[in-house]
Amino acid sequence: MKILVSLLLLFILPVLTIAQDITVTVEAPGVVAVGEQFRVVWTVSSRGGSFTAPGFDDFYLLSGPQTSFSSSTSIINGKVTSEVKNSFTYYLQATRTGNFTLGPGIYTEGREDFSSKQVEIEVIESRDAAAARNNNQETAGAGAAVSDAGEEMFLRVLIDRNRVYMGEHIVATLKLYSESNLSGIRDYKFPDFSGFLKEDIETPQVTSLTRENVNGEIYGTAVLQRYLLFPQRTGTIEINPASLTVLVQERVRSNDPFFGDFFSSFNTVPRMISSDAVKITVQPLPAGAPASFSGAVGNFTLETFTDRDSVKVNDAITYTIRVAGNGNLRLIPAPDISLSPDIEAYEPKTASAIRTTTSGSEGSRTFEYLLIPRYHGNYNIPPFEFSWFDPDQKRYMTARSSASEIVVTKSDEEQEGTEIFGGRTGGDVRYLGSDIRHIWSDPGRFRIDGETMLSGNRLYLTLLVLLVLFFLIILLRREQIKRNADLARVRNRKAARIASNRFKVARTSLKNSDFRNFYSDLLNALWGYLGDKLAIPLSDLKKENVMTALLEKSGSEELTSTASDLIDICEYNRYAPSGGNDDPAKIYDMAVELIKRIEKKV
Amino acid sequence: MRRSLIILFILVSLPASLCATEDPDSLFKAGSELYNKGDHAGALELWQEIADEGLYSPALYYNMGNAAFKIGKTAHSILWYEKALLMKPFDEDIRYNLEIARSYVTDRFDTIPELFVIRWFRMISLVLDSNGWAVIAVMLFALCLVLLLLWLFSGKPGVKRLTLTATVFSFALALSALGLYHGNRRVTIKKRAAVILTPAETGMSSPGTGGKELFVIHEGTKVKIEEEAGEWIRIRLPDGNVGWITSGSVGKI
Repeated sequence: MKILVSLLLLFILPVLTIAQDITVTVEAPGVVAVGEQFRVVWTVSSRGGSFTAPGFDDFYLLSGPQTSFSSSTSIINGKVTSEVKNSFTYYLQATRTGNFTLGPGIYTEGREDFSSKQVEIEVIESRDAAAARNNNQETAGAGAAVSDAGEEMFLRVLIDRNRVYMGEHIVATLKLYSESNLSGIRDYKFPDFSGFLKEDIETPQVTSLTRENVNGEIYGTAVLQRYLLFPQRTGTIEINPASLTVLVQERVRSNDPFFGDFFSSFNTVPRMISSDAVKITVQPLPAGAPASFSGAVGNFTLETFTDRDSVKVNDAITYTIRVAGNGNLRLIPAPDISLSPDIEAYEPKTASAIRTTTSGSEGSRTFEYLLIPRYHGNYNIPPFEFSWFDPDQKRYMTARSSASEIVVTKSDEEQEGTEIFGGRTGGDVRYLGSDIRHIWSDPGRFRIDGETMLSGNRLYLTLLVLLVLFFLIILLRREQIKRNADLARVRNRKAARIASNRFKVARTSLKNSDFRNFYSDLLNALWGYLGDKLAIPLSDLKKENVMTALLEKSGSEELTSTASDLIDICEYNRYAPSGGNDDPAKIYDMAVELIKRIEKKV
Repeated sequence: MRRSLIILFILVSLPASLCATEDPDSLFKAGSELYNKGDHAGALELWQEIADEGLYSPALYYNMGNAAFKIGKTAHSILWYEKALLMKPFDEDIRYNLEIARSYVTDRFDTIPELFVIRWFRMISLVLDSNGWAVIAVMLFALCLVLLLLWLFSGKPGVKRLTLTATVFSFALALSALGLYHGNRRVTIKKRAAVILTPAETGMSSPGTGGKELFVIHEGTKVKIEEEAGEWIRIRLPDGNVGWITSGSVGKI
């Protein structure tokens, strides 16, 4: 019993859960030929309501609706997922050419209406009819001319535009066209897209061919792969052909004249097809890029923010730059931000959230900077500029973020730490960079090339002149000495004679007993004699000089002292009252004796 | 004697006041202004005009070195700094900038250290220019002769002894001044050193292209010039290797 209830629940539950979210989808071929039968299927993810199909005025309704129902339920990790498929199938036949619209199919459940999308169906002339009209005369062997399968089969690389700017995206689609049924595709060889940055756009696996009208013919088409291409260089870039091998189902005709058609079988034949090369012209970006341009092409918005405004020293703060939009986002480099050297900035963490779609790379690129202020104060993160080229407007755009201010307060630890040791721990001055030293403003004294006065020979000439001068002086001096020496000799020779004349005067004074005059005369005679004899000028005639010279010339100390004593006695008696005690006549004799001795010695 | 000394003095000191026109000073100033505005190439051009007139000063060479460095001509800046250093061998700014400019030079050598006596001798010889050393040599020689005269003609033995010592001493000084004069001329006038200015230069084993290629040196490297033979010069690298290169590829310091 219990099991029965739970089983019941199992079946009812999915219906209940799905009821809230009902979708109606429609499936119909895009292109059909006149007279062709085709199928239109509406699928509702619910059951229990009623379905109303649109009017099929432009088509002939062959049969329908055929309804079918399927449901599946899966429980994964306790999560219930269930799928209900309630489909309504109509078989139609196209009656005339033209573009027709099938209105929405409406599904009513309770009081709510759910409608599908409209469907566009293109009806074209059938090939047989066209062929028949074109070649009326050749219809004879109609049977033999049937399917030449695989003839009409090609591969194309479709690009959405062939003239782009450098860095602007292109959507390339690799598409297979085939008139006949294919049983498989293999040996894909995709172009290498050299010269482009290639991104794959997610493309659903090919399961069946989609019908498409190509120049009045119905082809089964399949999009094999879609690419988003970003040109990396300017000029004409060629996309290499793509190639692949398809397995074509070919009808093998039996030779049996009666049952040939009936017993024909299919054979699978591999065929290699390749696309044409495609050329794309890549224009260089126009001149006049702003300084902050770094190669971004597209359409972007810029956003910067910090996770908080105020922080303590040594605590981290996150500064985020986010560029969002459509363009070559992946190529945007991490911007340089200029910060105060007191803020330590680490390499940014780059994150991309990019979707690759047929309209380009969309999403955002985020640069997160971890900043750690190392000193307290108010800091400014300067406004950040980001530039890009907008290919639609064909000009450069620049966005500028607002400046962010960070208030950094002193950390508690720092204060405590410094107080323990009783002083601030000063750090070394931090050097931020090195450069050559600045120019000097003072030109100094300019010199002229080859200015040296005393160079080379001239220096030695000057030295020679000096030497010559030196010898000249010596020569002159010698001459002078010689002349002086002659003069002295004359005085020397005359000294005795002059002395004797003076002695005569002294004797006269002695006879007259005029002692005072006697001594004066005697001294006069002695001084005069010594001056002449020793070649001492009158101005230098002092006792010491004379005695030194006498000692030097005679070499006899006894003689010198005698002379000295005699002069002393004369000097004394000259000023003594009543002529002194000595006998003048004796002194006179002594003086004569002295002169005689000097004459002998000198 | 004294009069002749005075005349000599005037003769020697006269040329110092003769040169220097007003024009280079204003050119120098204009160049400095351009440099401060960031137009380093313009500044270098103006200063080059002064140099082309045959005028020079340590400040001119130093500034030209700075401007050359700023516009990326590192080899030229080294050349100018070296020239400035010859005139101001102990200047800190020149040495500092030269050191920075040298760090951009590609070639690194294991230099053979010079004998310290030779290095000192060269340093001292650059304290004065050759003219200065010549004047000092002449003056010392004159002093020596005067002292010799005093020694010859003085009668007093004390004076005689003193003058004799002084004579010998001043003679020795005069000789060393003469030596320094030659040392100075060796580097400044005869230009025995050069800086490679071309991006790369191949050293050959003999003058002319017929020789064998020995080494490749790059711009900014300082070499010694040992011999000149027409277009070719024999250079010695800092590591002692010798080769011949074309004279057009170097700038003589």
